[in-house]
Amino acid sequence: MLTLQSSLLPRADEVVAKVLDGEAIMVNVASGIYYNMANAGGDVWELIAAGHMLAEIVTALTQRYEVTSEQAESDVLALASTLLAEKLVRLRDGDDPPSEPIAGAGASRRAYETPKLEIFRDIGHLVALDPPMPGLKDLPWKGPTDESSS
Amino acid sequence: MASQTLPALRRRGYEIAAVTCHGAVDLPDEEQAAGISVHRFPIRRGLASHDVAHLAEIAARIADLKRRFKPDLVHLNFTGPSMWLYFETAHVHPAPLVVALRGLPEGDCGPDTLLGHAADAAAWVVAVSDAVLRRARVRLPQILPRSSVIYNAFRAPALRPARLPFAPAQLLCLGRLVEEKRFCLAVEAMPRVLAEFPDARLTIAGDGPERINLERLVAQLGLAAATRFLGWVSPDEVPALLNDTTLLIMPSRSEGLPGVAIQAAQMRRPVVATRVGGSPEVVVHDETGLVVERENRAALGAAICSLLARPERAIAMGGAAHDRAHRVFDWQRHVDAYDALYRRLVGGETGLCY
Repeated sequence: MLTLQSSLLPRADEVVAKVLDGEAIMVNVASGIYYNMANAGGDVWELIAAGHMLAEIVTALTQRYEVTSEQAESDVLALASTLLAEKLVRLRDGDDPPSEPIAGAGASRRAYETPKLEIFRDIGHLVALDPPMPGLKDLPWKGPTDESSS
Repeated sequence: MASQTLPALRRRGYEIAAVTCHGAVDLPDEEQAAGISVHRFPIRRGLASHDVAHLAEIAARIADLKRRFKPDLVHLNFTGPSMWLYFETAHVHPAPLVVALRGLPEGDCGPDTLLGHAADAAAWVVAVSDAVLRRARVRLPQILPRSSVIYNAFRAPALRPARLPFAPAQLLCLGRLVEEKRFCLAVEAMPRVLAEFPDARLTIAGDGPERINLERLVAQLGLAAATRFLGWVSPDEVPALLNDTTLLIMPSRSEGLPGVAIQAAQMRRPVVATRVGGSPEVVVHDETGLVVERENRAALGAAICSLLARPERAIAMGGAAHDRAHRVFDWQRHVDAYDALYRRLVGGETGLCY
């Protein structure tokens, strides 16, 4: 059962992820499903990837964002459940390396929105429907020759 | 279409930044064209290879562009998986979203799909035809109160339409050489056409992955002397190509709104098309061309022969097509419609991210 004492880790065998400017992009390469989380969601993913307990992640969010402990606890548990259900993460076990200390928060707290996992199940399907055109010239941008007509 | 519509909106005072994918050949990452800044990113490559580092870098660059440009509105031409980058950067500078649908992908349109996300996020959804709008509203009922049709249109070509050639008759298939266009049916109809009109010729203009199969089919049917492949034709060359054409043949399996049929109408060319998608909204059966059931090469061949056998009827249909294109697919009305929609959504501001 998932509790605030639980720790999760990304499923490294199936999931590739990158966090840049607070935005987390994750792909389950086995299923081809794309995910992203912005703002607090990016923080949560980074902290999960570093192996921190959910309780530590809640504390970090309350230090970084204008959010109460109660709200952060509820949101982190809900998000963690979703990440488990989507097989993006697994429960950490005793063989996993210990986590590093969490970096201190900045001077001011940012506005908070409940982190949401955005799911895109059809990217692989759309990529397959949209093959590249071998030998097809791209259309260079060109303005109209008659600028007076509209 | 964007290369005509965007400059027209630019002349109405819009400041426009266009974000697009890199195509098959090297073009600059950034350039200015007709006063529009164009930004190209290799999005599809990253999606196809699940290269999240590459995609995150592209997202960061688009986010930076949005912070600098500060769009008052974003227009998303829903053309495929690259639209996913919009959702990666939507939070950077929120603005009303217009989603334009040329067709609908097969499969699920639920909340966890790209189109589902787009439909939920859109302030307005524009469809290129009644057929696309009806289908979209069934699969995405949430768009019902915030959706409409804006027909595609093209500026009238400067070239005057020539008389239809009948000696010999010239048949044209024009478009991407992909399975969906079903140009193979036009090839397979040619033996029937040649039996009645031995001097008729078929031109296949365009390029794509189906070219090799079409060339093989032409060889198998012994049609090499009656068929030519032109390869890719630039938009500037299309009116002249149509002027050398008797009939445009469109045996597609699906269409949103076939722009090439509108261009043919502008050049007084009748069209033989299949009854799919928005094609019957451009080609009115027995008035501006002939419409046949899809996947029926016999019906396609019969329709072609019936028009070649009655040149005066074909010429009259071409004239009717021209008049209808001027009325229904009027260029000015097309630009006016987008202009009015954008201004309604943003209250008069004019910074457009496309």
